[in-house]
Amino acid sequence: MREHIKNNIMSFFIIVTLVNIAIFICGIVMAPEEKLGYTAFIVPVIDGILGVIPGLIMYSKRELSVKQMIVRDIIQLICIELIIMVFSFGFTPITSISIPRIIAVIGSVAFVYVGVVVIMYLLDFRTAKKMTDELKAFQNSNS
Amino acid sequence: MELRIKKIDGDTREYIEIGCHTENSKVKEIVRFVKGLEGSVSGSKGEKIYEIPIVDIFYIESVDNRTFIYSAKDSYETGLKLYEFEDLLKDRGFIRISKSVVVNVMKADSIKPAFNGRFLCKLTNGEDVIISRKYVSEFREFISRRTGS
Repeated sequence: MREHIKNNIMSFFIIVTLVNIAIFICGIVMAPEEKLGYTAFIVPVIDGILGVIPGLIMYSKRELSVKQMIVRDIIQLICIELIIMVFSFGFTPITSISIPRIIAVIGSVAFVYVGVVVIMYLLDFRTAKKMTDELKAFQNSNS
Repeated sequence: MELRIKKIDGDTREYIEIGCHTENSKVKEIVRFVKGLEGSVSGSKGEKIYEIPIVDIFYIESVDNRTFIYSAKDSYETGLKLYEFEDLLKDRGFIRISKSVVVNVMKADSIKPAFNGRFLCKLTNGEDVIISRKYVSEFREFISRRTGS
């Protein structure tokens, strides 16, 4: 459980960073003239919290197989998409003008999700390299 | 057969070398005996019971309440439970890496990342075993404590 919480905290900070990048890219492309207020700074943090909630709820003590894990990740992505959609557009009527924004948000959520997976993988890759070095040192000192 | 014993420096790792024309049953018997000095466990394969030298064990796995010992190429069933092996072999370089696997760290070749905080431990016989998220820190602690780093 401790490891799971640690991973989710790490995911939170990665999400916040990637949401900032997504807002920047979408803003430049779709509404370069728009000016944002101070509340815009809290959006990535809220998105970060909303993004880790499904992961926290779907925690399982069971050791999942690779297949089960992929299925769980897909369900998690769908849940995050739904949560963010409700948070972003659930309280306003959807018009034809908001459709490109909805598509941009769906795309951004997927981009952030894949980004988090890739960054976590790269961090694990570094840890794995360190572990291999420690393993070799262990084997040399015990052989 | 000539028998030679050579004294070596304290820095050099001790070894036993057998010079033979062919690796016949006599040679294999000597190898089994030497490995047996390091300890062995019993395991069955079909109707036969075998003594498996601890140094030859790659990992031990529990599947549906049955425990299996894996060597480089073979697998044997054993009556002992996984937690008993964990306890028995903890000072012999074995550590639990998931709910169902205890691995011989000396047989690990490299570690690679798997998704969701898990790692793949590649063994020297080419097999992969999963280090689950829960056991990663214990595994790291185990190998770093033993090396003193």
